Amino acid sequence: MPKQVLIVDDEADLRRALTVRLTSAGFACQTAANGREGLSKAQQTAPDLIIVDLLMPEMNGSALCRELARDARTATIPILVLTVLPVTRPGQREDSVERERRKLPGVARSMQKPFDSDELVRTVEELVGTDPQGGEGHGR
Amino acid sequence: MAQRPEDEQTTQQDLMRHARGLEERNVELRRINEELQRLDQLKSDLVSMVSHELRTPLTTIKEFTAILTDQIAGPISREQQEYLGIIKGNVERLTRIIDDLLDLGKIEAGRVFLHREFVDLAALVNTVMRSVRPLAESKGIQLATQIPETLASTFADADKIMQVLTNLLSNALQYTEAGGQVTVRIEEQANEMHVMVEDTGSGITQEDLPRLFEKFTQLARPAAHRALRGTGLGLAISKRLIELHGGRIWAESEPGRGSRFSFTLPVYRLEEVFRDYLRNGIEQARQSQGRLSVFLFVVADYQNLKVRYGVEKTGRLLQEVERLLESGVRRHSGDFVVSWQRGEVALLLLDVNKSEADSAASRLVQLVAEQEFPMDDATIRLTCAVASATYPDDATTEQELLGCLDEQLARGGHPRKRILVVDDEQKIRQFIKEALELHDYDVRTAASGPDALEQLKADTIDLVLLDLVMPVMNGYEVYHLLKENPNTKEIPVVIVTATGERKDRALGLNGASYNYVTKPFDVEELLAKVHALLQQSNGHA
Repeated sequence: MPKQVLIVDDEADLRRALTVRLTSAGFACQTAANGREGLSKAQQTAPDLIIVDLLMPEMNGSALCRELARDARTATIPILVLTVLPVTRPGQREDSVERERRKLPGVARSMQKPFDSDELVRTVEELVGTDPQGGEGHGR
Repeated sequence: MAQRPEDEQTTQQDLMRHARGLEERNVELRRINEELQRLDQLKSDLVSMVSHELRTPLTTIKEFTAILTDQIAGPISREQQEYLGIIKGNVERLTRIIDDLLDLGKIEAGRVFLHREFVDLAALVNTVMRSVRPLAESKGIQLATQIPETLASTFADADKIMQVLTNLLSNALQYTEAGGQVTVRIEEQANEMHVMVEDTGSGITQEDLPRLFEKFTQLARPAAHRALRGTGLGLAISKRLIELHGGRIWAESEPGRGSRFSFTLPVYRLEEVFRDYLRNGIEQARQSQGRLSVFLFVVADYQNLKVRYGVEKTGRLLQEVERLLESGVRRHSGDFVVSWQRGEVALLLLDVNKSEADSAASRLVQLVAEQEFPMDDATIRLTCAVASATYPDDATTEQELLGCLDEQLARGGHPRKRILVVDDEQKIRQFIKEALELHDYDVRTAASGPDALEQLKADTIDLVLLDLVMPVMNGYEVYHLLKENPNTKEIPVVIVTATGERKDRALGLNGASYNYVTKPFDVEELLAKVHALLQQSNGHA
């Protein structure tokens, strides 16, 4: 059974790109165009990882993370935030945006757009693999 | 010199007209200034918005390019591969321009704050050198450093200096041909550190030199390496970052021979560093609506110790005190400890509020008092006085906070407030005494009104906690005796009553305003009241 990844982003083109990329890396992808849709899909299918954009209409990424944490069915699913907002690189001091984001429940990692494709796939594999709920998984 | 009346009149009229003109011009200037500020804000918002908006389509372009390159959508020819590589390179360049624009916008809007710390400049240079080495090797350029063996540590924002160095080195590599050399040199001078990046490249013409640090300067010299092509903003950013540090940056060049880019970083005295640090900490606390506490520990008899043991040994002793204090506090990355040779250790703790500061101060003084310091085959013990001040409770600027410390120390180096607890019930006296002592108040007790008045005559008391119902003399009587006496009338008083005991109105005492705490009281409530009143009376003093 391939690992399930739910992609929540309001940019249709980017959803498509991520789906193509992750499918070719062996993941099963589904997508949602905003936080509200993402929440209901997450609750219905309990994916292994959720990729969340922050700035979205309807329900934004921060609200989505909080809603996911509130629901027992989705609370333990790791979240990867993909955002245009600045992300602190290793060895750098955290800025205030990043500090705010770190307070979001369930967020395992943040990456800034545009991202490096290989790094994205590596990160997804890592997050799915180390998820205690996820069994053997990819990577370590 | 005599003036004819009509001349005088003309002069006066002239002056008045002139003054009116000036007034009008001032109004106009103010208006223009406001308009400029508004435009500046608009520009900075626009830069930030546009930069974020651009990232989204760029992400999609980059990702689909990568999907094609990785042949996920099917096999492609070598030529197609090459063209996709060009798209990728340009997407990356656009991303860099956006990053730089955002950076510059932030700096120009004054929203960049330095996180300064002691930085080993040599190590920092080596880190940057390592990161550009692969590129240098691929271009056949030799890298070298000339750094003195011992180098005072610099007080700077490591991330920002790294950014400047990376920028200067990338430029140097960009304009240097295969077989050339790029050297980083550091020289320590009286009041500043000089960092130089030298190349043996094509050089810069005399007319280009002054424009180098302006925005979007593209020079009429061949960019040697496509992947390295700059954004036109790197040097403008570097200039601002160095200037934020209080340094200078400039370039020299001999066309055909090479260029040298130099910047300076001021060498700080410890006290300036500490003030700077404090200012930074305050700014951070202001932004996050947090708190910050600053402490000053003064070793008692330091001058005598110096005389007895000599400057060097006493200096080492002070360093041990510094280490001890450092180990005794919870460490945030922004915390800071520094000692001065006059026998003081200053301590800065982020996210520490007033009551935490009070308890930390007494805990640390205790820590020092309990420590045995080895000195000339024996051990000695030290006592120190401590003062502490908290942002924003005590003051909001670095100057005022340090002023608070001086003031406290001048008052005898004993910031502990003395409280007199007056209650006829021994158990309650004891309970309140213990609760207050836990929060580092110096607590006296009195079992009756007359007893309290005796103690107030003999001792300095900062605040009185007064039971209302007592035999011999009740709380109101004590209160009014205190207020009638010029020596004690300034002392804040809290009256402790059980519900229903308040009789001020019934007794016709409603003229005075009393501070009440109602029994059974909450210790936190009592402490808050005590603290607030002491703060107020501090303000009056």
